[in-house]
Amino acid sequence: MAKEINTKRPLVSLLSTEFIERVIEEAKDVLEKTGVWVENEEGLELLSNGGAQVDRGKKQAFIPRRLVEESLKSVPSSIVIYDRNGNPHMNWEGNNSYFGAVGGGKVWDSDLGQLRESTTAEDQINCIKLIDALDNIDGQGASVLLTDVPMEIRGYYRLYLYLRYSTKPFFGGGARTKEGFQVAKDLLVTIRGSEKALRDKPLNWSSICPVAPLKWGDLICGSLIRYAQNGIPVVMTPLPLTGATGPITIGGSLVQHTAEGLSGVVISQLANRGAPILWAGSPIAFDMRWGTTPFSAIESIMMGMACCEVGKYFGLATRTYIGCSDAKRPDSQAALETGIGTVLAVLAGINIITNAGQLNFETVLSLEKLVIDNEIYGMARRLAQGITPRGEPLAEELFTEGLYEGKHFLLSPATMKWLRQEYFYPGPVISREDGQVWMEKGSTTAEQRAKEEVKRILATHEPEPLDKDIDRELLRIVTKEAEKYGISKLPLP
Amino acid sequence: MDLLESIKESIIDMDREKVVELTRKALDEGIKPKKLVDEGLTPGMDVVGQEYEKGIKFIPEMFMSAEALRGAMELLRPILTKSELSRAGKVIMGTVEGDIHDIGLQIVSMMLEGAGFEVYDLGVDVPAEKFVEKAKQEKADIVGMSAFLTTTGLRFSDVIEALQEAGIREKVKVMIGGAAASGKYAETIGADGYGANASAAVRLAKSFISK
Repeated sequence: MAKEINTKRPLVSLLSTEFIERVIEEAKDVLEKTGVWVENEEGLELLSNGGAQVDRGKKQAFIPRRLVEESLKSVPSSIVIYDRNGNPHMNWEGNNSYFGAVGGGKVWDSDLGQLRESTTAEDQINCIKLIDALDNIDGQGASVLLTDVPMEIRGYYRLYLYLRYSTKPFFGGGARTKEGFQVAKDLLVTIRGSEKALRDKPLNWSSICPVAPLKWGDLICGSLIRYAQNGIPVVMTPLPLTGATGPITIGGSLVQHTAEGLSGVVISQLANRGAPILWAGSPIAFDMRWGTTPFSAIESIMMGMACCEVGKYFGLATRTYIGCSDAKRPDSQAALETGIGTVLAVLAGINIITNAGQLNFETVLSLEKLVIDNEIYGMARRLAQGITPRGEPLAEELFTEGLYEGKHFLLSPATMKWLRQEYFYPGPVISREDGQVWMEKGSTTAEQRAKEEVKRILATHEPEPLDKDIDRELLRIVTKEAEKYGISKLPLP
Repeated sequence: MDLLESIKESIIDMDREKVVELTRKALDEGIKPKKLVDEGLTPGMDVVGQEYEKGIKFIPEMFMSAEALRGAMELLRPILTKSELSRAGKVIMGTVEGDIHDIGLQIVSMMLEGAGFEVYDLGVDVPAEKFVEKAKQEKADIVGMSAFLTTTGLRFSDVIEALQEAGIREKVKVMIGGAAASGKYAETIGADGYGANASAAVRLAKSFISK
């Protein structure tokens, strides 16, 4: 028997340990010497009690190294997210990689050939159903504007739709205000049965973005504290824009990103020691020509990878936006950006990669792109699995008795055994048939095939229904809130 | 080279020191401040703006040229008449209450400054009263608001209502932007325009003033 060989998890890294340590040291210097601006009384109070030097007048907090290091110690190094039924769904730790959806607003409408502004509950539900059906997208979180319901209730109405039409956990907190947060929490507790059960089995996670450079706005700091207190995993997402709201160099922006992230870690741990945090980042190579924020600039991708390396150095779970495309429709640019980005994010060992369906700087959702991205994720996931030494000997087939020149292996027992396990088989969006066959089937592009897939899935996929009593209770909570804004009947269900 | 031409070139070259030096020289030679602005500084900034649109100049370079312009304006401000001073107009900018995203806001503010507007950036999470107070105080021409979150976009109309209540709605133009905004939405809530991106916002602001 040969010695057991472990499968290597393919990984790449961009920073040397010395570089990471220098970034962290400088970030700690920034927090001590420059400090952070905190426009939230509760946040300043927490920091002051925790040992930071606080200037109330300037709303500035100088955070000592000791406090940063202490806070880092209490952050859990792994987070398990559970589905609607309470089963473990994702385990964010080590180099496990999962895929999710995020953001949006408008929709790429392939029938109109336009970025459509008026987006309704129907669009949102289609998107949720589609993600529910797509095997390689692990979480919900894509959103549309919901122009058919009052602005005030959109956040938790969307949350309600996530809960009703999918068992997958989701990204999003439902609301930024104290009152809104309570409604969102009521919905989540209804699913789980109790506050404790929700805390034990988180069903959602939400991002928290400090204002670059080095500032915590009132509302977002309040959200950070509330999420920490309620044990909802927080995605710490500083977003320096190089040369605009962050230093121009990648190294400089990494320092700022680290300092902002660490200040958030401190606030969260002071609010609730042990509160779960994902170290994330959305540092962007600000485009100096258009004044835009390209998520898929190669330097944005490099920074996204590098800041997660810093997070891994701290031993934290990580998350990224890498792979959100800057294209305006699911065209070649979209495919190449999401393809390159997703593969690199997986090779960086990032725990949750959320970019499914996103176009135009995370402001446009495309259903077709969700279907295409599902294939990209399938390939990336396979890549992460690496090459496993299977069988002993490896080339079992070559040692078969009576092997003769020209023999094929299509019928060999090893082929039957590994046929499906060893390979990822993409869906109909990826064309692998012969060119002649492709022409006979209409010479379609990937975008056209994706559109057909969207139609097919929406016509056939039935999400697992929600328990009737729970469904009724969720609807009651949302309707009660809607009534406050003069809406007696919600558009759907 | 003619002095005014040199001022124009120095603006394009982003050379604040030289712009200030030449402006001082021009004033000593008796060139009228208004002529200096109209035939030296403004044409320089126009070229910068055009080159930006063509992708030759980048945003920080445009900003540096605006800095050079600011240097000259420090000398000219005390001697220009009020009407001569408000070259492009005054803009109050801010992200509406409840929203913490300021990426777009900062870019638009930067570009408006570059285009010669006097910009008062109130930052993020700005309550309606603050917009009104500042607009009154500065006698602003334009109020620009942005929102990224779909849940905060409705605060646009709060600000518009507050401007109405304060009796200054007719005196200012209101423009909106950000992911939560749209052209249709601007119409619905009675804003004067929507800027889909930073350059569009600058064009919109310019169109308000030239009307």
